[in-house]
Amino acid sequence: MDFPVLTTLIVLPMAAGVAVLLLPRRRPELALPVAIAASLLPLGASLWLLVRFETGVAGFQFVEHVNWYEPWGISYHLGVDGISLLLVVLTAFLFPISLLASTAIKDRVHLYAASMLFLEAGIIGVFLSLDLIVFFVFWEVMLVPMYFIIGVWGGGRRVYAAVKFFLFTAFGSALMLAAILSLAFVARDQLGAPTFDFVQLLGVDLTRTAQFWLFAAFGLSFAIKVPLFPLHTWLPDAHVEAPTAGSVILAGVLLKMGTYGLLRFNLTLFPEATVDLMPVMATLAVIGIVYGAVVAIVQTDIKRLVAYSSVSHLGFVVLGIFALTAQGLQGGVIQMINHGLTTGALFLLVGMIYERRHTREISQFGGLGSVMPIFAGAFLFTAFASVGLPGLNGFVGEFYVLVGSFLSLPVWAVVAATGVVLAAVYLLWAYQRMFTGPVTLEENRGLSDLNAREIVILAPIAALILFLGIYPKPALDRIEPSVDAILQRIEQTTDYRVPDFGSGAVVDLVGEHGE
Amino acid sequence: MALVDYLPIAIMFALALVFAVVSLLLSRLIAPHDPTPEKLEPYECGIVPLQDPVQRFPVRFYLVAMLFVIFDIEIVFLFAWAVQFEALGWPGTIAVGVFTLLLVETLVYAWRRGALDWNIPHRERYRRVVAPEIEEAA
Amino acid sequence: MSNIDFLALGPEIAVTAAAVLLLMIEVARKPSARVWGWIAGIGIAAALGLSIAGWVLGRGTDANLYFSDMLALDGFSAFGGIVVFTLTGIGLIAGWGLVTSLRRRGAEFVALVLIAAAGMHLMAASANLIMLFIALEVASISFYVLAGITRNRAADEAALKYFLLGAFASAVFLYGIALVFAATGTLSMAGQESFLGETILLRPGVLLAGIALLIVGLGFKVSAAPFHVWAPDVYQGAPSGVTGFLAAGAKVGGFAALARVLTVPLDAYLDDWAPAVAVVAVASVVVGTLLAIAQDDIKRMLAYSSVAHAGFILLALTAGDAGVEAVWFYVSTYALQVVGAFAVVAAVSGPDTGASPLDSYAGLGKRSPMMAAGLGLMMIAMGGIPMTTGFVGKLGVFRAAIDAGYLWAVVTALVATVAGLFFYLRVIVRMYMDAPGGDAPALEVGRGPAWAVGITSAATIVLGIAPWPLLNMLRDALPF
Repeated sequence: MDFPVLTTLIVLPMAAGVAVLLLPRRRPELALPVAIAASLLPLGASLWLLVRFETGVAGFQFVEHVNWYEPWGISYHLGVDGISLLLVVLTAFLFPISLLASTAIKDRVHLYAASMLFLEAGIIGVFLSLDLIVFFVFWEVMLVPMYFIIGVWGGGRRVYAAVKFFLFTAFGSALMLAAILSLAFVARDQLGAPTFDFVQLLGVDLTRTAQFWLFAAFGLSFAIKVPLFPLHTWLPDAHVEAPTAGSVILAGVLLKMGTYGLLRFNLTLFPEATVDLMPVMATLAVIGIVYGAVVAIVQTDIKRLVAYSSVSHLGFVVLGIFALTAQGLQGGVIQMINHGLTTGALFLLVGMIYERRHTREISQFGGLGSVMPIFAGAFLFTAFASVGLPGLNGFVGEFYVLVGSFLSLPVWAVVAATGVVLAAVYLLWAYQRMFTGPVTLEENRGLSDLNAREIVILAPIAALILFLGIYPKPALDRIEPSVDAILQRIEQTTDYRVPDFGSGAVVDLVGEHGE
Repeated sequence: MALVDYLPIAIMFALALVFAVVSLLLSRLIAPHDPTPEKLEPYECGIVPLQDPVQRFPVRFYLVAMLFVIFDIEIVFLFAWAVQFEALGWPGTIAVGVFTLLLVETLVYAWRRGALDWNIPHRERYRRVVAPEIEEAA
Repeated sequence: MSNIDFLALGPEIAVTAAAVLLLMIEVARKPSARVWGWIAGIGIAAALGLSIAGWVLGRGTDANLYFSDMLALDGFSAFGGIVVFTLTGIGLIAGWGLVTSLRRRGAEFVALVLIAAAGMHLMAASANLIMLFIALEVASISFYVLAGITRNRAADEAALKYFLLGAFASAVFLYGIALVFAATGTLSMAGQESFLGETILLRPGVLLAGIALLIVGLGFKVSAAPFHVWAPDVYQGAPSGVTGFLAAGAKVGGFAALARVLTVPLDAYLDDWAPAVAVVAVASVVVGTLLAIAQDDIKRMLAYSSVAHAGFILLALTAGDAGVEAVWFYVSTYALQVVGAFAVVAAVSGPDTGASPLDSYAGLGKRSPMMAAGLGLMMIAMGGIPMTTGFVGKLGVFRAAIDAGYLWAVVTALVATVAGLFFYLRVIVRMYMDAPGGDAPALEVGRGPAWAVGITSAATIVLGIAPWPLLNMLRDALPF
């Protein structure tokens, strides 16, 4: 067996977390630097993974497979493919950054740093697991550190937000566990032995009804996490009350676990139900896009605004996934990465201004552009990326999603496109109110601009935003084979045929913008 | 076992009931009814009762009664063992011996804790040993 | 043949001898508490060792019945012994503060714990319904006295309630035994098994009524709804130093008895009793969870949560034989969680007091990081979060129940699990997210609770991540 890099990716942060806990209590100032240094190790491992990953292969790579408890059919099965690869890298990338942005945390720092590292281990575990029970274990266990991060180090209503976050997610996963167990027994009837192994479960033949219920149970759990309208109500609370780093991780990677789950499990395990429910899911996604954007417009709290923009952006991801076209799925995956970068950066920026002014009310700012030019520039850049300005990463994802969904669900695509416009409204309007014009309040006059540490935090994200906007091909090349494999599987098992630019006017309309 | 098989028991039960009811009714109907104060007094070996029969007596009697029950039960178990004495052999004898020893141990413990102390000289001991503990627990 | 073999009774002899010795030395010499500890420790260690020996000899083989089919030495009883005596040891360590606070009566406390342990192990080892009844009474009567050992008002009330309701449950159980005897003509479980396996009862009414009463009687002991009403008052009133042992012991003994009675003699009637068990299970899970949410005292909350846990464990029994493994895993790991949680309660509220309001846990994360972490871990484990034994236990019982066709019950239980998280999280919120009122001083924690919490926490995590040694072991722990 090769070097177990995937296990290393999970164990490294976990071990680092334990190490941080063991640091002497009298030296709290050590905790954060140690944690940051430790979190660079998984980043390194993930980059190694990125380099060694074989482009153009659809299946799982770096697979590790050990029986965990054979009579129950549970195995420790890890693997990475084009869909999870970038998410893992994104996770490993965002954690050092958010830890670096956590200097405002003064209370029980070692616990905080350890929670963050445990959270990282849990999230990476979710993206790498190919056994449903192991997946569930990571899925559920990562709630605990996140719960503490929101509940102990969050804002005023942190306890409420933390409990709401925990219970919403746990409710979804309860039904998923029932579905996972049922699936294993169906597998036992067909394969002879119970199994929770994702790859083996692909070979199980499910009736249409069974697929429907299992899709619903898995889907509910993932939809809560995404969050899909109307299950999103936990999100604004959790985002607003969480400390900055918590919001970054929450928006940056935690939400992606939901869309990843839909893509990885719902589409492949229950293809018939996927095709049947495609309009339903797409409708919910489109409602989420428009609703999230409209609600974002009227927010007076900038952090809430960014939170609702997540609802809208994640709607795009789900729409792309349930468009069931190559472009849509690729767009969905790349949009997950983009959203992680841009929204992560937005939350970081909001956190930076909050640390200076201890308020997030948009009306409390005004004319900041003249006081904090670098900050204003960074905010505008990120806002443009989030809106989908061509040349920045957001454009690539949204374009793919819209093209992909136009092929299969044209009406939905048209409605979704208004979301792009609305995004420009809420973000740029917020920018205008906060940064342009003369300084309105005296308190804002003396604010210091970004310092070196903050620039170091933002620079790598900005670089990636720019890189993915100009040259997304390396990312897309890695995503494409895995996505195509999913679509092939759907075509093989159902009557659904993936529409492509093969006929009619569509070719002329979009062909010139193609890859 | 069918319900029908219980029929004899049911008949027996009914007969008993009928007998009791009939006897009482008959005596009520036939016997002469002529109460006098002497007849209505409680009968106690032919002597006129001197005091109210409801009396308080020391709680110790209960303790002794409980200790007595323990050894009463012992007889029951020993009897069961006695009929199977040959079949059970030495292991059975040992088991019963251990059982008896356990009961003796109980007695010793209760004794040493003062359960059998009620002579005046022992009051002193009670005041010294048992009462402080009760106080402390209260 | 009568088949007398004192080795089969080894564990009981060991702990009983320790109890007798302890009491005799106590009345003769009045030694220090340390001596009681040594005697009890040696007795428990010997019993544990003999149970392990019994495991090595008895697992996987066919039944070895002793004393005229009164006792079974098989994997089931040996594993039961291992669990019971481990639990007793940890329970005594956790409650040692209570022992010393009782002064001279501490000896009686230790002796009662040892006798209760003997009774609990006999519950797992009985192969005859009368034997089972005696074992049940030995354990229960010890429990009643232990609940009231401090002789204050709350403890007295708890003991009396426990005694009256427990006596009633015993009567119901005895009635069940009588009806099963009436239907089968024997009290031996092996005899009933072969009789019911070979005979088709034309009128099974008497047997079914007997089964129902057996379930009700043991349901009382394990505090399954709707037979749970004693639990909150007893948990709250009993001194904290012993509540964990009472709670865990009643569950272990009760479920061992229930598992053996239902899956050995009554196996042939699985289709008749399994639905009833499923209904009781779901009722317990739902009632326990909903009532736990409303509690302001952590001991009452844990009492209601134990009702819910009884429901989870019962779910596994719906699968009959196939569920015994899951029952054992759940009940043994849950017992450790309970003992650990109550060790923290004893440390926070004092081992000899009853009530333990949730408010006294505010800021525990700062006052005693180790106790808070321990209790937090127990709460997370009881909530069924992965990487703890709580999750593996739930996975096991849900598997078993789904396999037996009770998906509806599993889905209900899963939803209740989430509702249950609400009150487990509340404890964590109090400990970590609420500031203590004023400048609360650091909490002084004795060595006993610290050790108990440490051991149970380690077991909860280690067996939660790597449960397969225990799971593999449990495949040999089936009743004959």
